[in-house]
Amino acid sequence: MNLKSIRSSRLLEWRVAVPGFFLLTILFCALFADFIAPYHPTKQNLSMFLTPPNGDYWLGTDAFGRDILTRILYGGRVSLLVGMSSVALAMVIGVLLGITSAMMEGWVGEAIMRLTDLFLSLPAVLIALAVAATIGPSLLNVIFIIGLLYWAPFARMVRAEALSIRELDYVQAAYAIGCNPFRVLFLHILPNIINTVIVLATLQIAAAILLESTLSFLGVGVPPPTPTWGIMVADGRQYVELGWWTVTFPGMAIMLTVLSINLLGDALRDFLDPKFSRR
Amino acid sequence: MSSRFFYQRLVQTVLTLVLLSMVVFGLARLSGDPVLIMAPPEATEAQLEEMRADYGLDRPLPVQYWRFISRVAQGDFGMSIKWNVPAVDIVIERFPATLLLATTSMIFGLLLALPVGIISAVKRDTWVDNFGKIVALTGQSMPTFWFGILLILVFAVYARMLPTSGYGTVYHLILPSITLGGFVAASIMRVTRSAMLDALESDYIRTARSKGVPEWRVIMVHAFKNGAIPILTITALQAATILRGAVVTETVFVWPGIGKIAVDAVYARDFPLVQASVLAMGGVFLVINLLVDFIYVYLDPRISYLKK
Amino acid sequence: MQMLRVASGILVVAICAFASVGQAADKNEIVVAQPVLRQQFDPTALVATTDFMPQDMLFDGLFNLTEKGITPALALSWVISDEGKQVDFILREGVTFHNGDPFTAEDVKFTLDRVRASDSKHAYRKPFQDAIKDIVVLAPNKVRFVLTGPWPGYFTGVRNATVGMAPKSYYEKVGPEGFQKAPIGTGPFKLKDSKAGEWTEFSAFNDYWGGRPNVELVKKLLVKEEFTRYAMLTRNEADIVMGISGPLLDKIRADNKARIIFSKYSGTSGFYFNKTSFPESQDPRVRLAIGHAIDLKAIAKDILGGVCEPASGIFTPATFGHLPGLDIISYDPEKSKKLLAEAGIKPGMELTDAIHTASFGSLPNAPAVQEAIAGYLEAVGFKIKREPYDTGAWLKMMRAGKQPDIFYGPSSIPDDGSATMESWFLSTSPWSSGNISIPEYDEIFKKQLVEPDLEKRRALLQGFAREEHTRHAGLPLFWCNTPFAIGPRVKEWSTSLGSGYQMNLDKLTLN
Repeated sequence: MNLKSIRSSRLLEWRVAVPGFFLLTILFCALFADFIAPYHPTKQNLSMFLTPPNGDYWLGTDAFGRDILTRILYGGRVSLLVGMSSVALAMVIGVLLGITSAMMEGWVGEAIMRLTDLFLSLPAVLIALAVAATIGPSLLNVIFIIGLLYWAPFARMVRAEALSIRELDYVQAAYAIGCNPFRVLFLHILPNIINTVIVLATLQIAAAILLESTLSFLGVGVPPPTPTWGIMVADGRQYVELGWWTVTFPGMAIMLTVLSINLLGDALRDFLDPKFSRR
Repeated sequence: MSSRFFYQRLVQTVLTLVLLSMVVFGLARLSGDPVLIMAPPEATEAQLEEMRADYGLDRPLPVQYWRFISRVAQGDFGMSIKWNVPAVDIVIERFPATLLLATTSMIFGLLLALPVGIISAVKRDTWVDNFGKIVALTGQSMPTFWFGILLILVFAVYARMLPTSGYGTVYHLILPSITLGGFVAASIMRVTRSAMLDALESDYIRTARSKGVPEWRVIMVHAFKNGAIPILTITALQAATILRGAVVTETVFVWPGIGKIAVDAVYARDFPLVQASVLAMGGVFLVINLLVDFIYVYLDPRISYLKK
Repeated sequence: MQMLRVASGILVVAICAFASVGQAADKNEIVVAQPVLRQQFDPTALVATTDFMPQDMLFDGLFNLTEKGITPALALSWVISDEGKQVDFILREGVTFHNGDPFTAEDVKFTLDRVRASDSKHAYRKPFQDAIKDIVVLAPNKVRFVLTGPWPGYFTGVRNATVGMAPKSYYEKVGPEGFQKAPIGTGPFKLKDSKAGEWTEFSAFNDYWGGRPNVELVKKLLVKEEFTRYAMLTRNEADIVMGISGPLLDKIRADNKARIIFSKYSGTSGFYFNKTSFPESQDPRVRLAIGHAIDLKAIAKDILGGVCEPASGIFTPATFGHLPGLDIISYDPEKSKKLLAEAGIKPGMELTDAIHTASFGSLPNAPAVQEAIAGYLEAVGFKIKREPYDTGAWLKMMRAGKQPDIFYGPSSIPDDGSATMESWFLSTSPWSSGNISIPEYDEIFKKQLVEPDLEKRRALLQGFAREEHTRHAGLPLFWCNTPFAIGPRVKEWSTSLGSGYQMNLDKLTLN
C-alpha cells in the first residue's frame, strides 16, 4: 500500500508538472508578450506576405506579413483571457443559481432547474452564432456569450452537491439549532463544493478556448486585428496548402494548451475531488 | 420504475421544450431581418414592409409567437424563406444523415475510448495509462475545423486515399467520423476508466479472482459488465451532443446534416428553418436525456431520482 | 426493447438512404462546387438578387449581353420606333419548351406581365412597372412593347434583358407552386432533381434551339468551406469550383492539371465616407490622402491572387459608360501623411470601419482585403476600429443608414453605369444614405435615364466618370473578375461577361 502510493504520487507529480509547466510558460509569455515578442502583433507588411519560417521569423509570417510567433504570444493573452473570464462568469452564475435552486425548494428551484436543462440542450455553437450576429462581435461580447452559454453544467453539479451536503448530519444539525441559512451556506456548503467547481471550471476553460476558435471560424469571433489563436487558425485555414505554418503553429498552441488544461483538470479531479477519484 | 418519477420527468422535458421554443423564436427575431437580405438594394421601405407582411413578420412578437407555436403543434414550421420548401421537410430530410454520422462517430469514439479506458484502469498510473489518456484527450483538444481540414489535407489531398467530402459511400463517412469520434472519445474514456476502477475494486471481482477466474475474463466479462451502465450513459449523452449539432464538422465535410443547414439558416435569417432545426436538435437532446434517465432507473432501481 | 427496435429501424432506413445516393463520376457529368446555391426557379418570382443564379440553365431571355455586346437569344431582331416608345421584337421560331410546347409571343407577354404585375414579387419589377405600358402580341413570332417613355437601360442591363421566358399554358396549369417544383423553360438544361440547401441537378435538353449541350448532367453543389472546394478540385470530385480566392489561385495555377478562367469584370468596389460622423472627410485632401495610403497593387497581387486589379474609376471597362485612360491613385504613404497634416488631421485619429465577414462576387476574399486596407490606414496614422458584420447584419446596417466613418462598397454585375450611380452616387442612393449628395450627379443621372441615343447616353455617363475622377466623392478600389477553377476533365469552356449568372455550361466540352 505504502509503496504503491509513493509510486502513484510520483506519477501524479509528473502528471501535474508537465502540463503545469507548459501552462505556466504560456501564461508567462502571454503576460510579458510586450517584452519578449520580437515584432509588433498587428502591424502589417505585405512585402513579407507568407514568409516561411526562417532566422528572422522563427515561425514564419501570415498573409499580412505579420510575425506568427509574435501573434501566438499575444494571442495567448486574449485566448486565455477569453477562456478564463468567460468561465469565471459562467461559474459565478452557475454556482449562484445552483445553490439557490438547492436551498429554495418549490417553484423557484424548479424554474431554475428547467432553465438549466434548457441551456444544456441549446446547440451552443448555433446560439453563439445567432447572438453574435445580433449584438455584433467584440471581445467583451464573445466573453459574455461563452459565459452565458456555459453556466448550466455548474448549476446542475452544484445543485446536486449542495443537495447531498444538505442531507449530512452536521449540516442538518446546524439548521436544527437555528443557524442562519446563509451562514450554513458559507460555512458548510460552499467549502464542500469548491473542489468540484474548480475541477469543472478547469475543464470548461479548455472548452471555452475551443469555442472561441469556432466562433472565429464562423466569422463572429473577436474582431481583427486583435490576435487570438482562434482567429489565427480560422484565417490561416485557407493558406494551409501554401503556408502550412500559418495554421499549424497556432493550431498546435491551442491543442497543447487545451490538452494541458485537460490533463491538469483530470489530475486535479483525482486529487481534489474524492467523489471522482475512485480510490 | 415509479410512475411518479416517469411523469415528473416527462412534464419537465415538455416544459423545457416550450422554453426552448421561446428562446429560439425570440433569438431568431432579434438576429435580424430576412427581408433586408433578399430585397434588391433600391427597394423602398414600403416594399420592404410589403415583403415582411408576406412572411407574417409585421405582426407584434407575441402574436407571431402564438401563431408559430400553434402551427408547430400541428407539425407546421412554416416555409423556409430561403429554400421555398416547408422547413420541417428540410429538417426531416437531413435527420438520417446526421443520425448516421452520429452513429459512426460513436463507433469510432468507442473503438478509441473503450480499449484506452480499460487498459488505463487495469494498468492504472503506469505510462500506458498516461499515454492512453493523452491520446484520448488530444481529440478533444483540437478545434474541430482545424482537425477536419488537416485530415482532408493528409488523407484526401496528399495520400488520395479517401474522398474529400460529401455523402455517398462508406468512405465518405470515415474522415468526419474520425473528427467527431475523436472529439467524444475523451469523455467516454474518462468514464470508462473510472467505472472500471470502481468495478475492479469491488468485492464481486475479488471473489471472482479468488475463485481462479482468468484475469482477462475478470476484466472483460465481470468488471466490464459491472461498469457498463455509466459507460452506456455517457455514450448516449455524447451521441445526443453530436445530434445536437455537429455544425462545424458537417460544414467542413459538406455533410448534408441538420447542423450544416441550420448554420446556413442563421446566416440567411431564415427564421422558420432556424426555429425548426434548433428545436429539432434541442428536442432530440432532451428526449435522449429523458430516455437515458428512464433506462438508468430501470437498470439500477437503487438510484433514487426523487432526490435529484 | 420496443425502443431498440424503433431505433434500429431508423438506422436501417438511414443506411439505405445513404447507399442509394451515388457519387457523380460518370463520363458525361460535371460537378460544380459553389459557395452560394439558389433554388428559386420561377423566373417571374425572383425575390433575392442572387436568385438569378440558376436561371441561365433553365431559361432564355430575349437576348444576351456578352463581351461582344448584345447577341440575339429568343428574339432575333427588334425595331425601335415612336421616339423610343415602341419596340417590336421578332422572335426565334421553332423553339420549344422542355415539355414540347412551342415558344410564342404569348409566353413573352405572359412572363413580363407577371413580372410587372402590381402584386409581383420580382426583385427588379420596378423598372418594368415604370417603363412598360402594355405588351401586345402582334403575331405568334412578333411582340410589341408599348413604353411610357424611352427605356435605353433595357438593352444594357443584364437584369432586364435576361429575364427568362416561362411557358404560359404550362404555368397556368400548374400554378406558381407547381412551377417552382417542376420548372419548364426553353433553356439548355432541364431541372432533374434538387435537394434544398444541398444541390441541384440539371440534365441536358436535347431539343435546345442553340444546339444540344455537350454534357448530359450538371450537378451544382453547395460547398461553403473554401478549402473543401479546393480539395474537391484537386481530387477531381468537382470539375468547376467557384469562389476560390487569393493565394489558392496561385497554387492552382502552379498545378499543371487544373486551370483558372475568369468571368471578366463581374464586380467593382469603392470606399465611401460618412459625412456626419467623419466631417473631416468632406475635405478632398483627406479623401485623397486615404487613397494614397492604400497599396491596391500589393493587395491585388498577394491577398487577391490577381483576381482583381486596382480600379481607376468606379465603372469597370465592361461597364456601359466606362471612361478609359484615367489614372489610378498612386500608393504614396508620404504624400498621404503630408496631405493629412495639411488638412489638420492628427495622427491617432480613430475611425470606425465596417468589415464584411463573408466574401462575395464583387470582392473575393473580402475580410482579408478589408483588413489589409485597415492596416494601410493605420500605417499613415489612423487608428481603425473594425466592426465586423455578417451579410445579414451588414445589409441591415447599410439600409438603416448607420454607415461607419469609412465604409467599403461593393457592386456586383456593374453592367450599366447608371445602376452603379443609382446605388452609390446620388443623393437618394440607398447604400450611401445621403453621404454623397452632389446636384450635378443627380442631374446627369436623370438625363441619361431617358436619353434614347446610345452614344449620347454613354457620353453622359462618361461625363460623370470624369467629374468623379477629380472630385473623388468615393475612392475606387478594385475591378474584380469571378474566377472559376476548372479541373482536367473540362476541355473547353468560356463564361460570359458579368458573373456566375451566365455560365454557358451548354457550350462546355469534356476531354
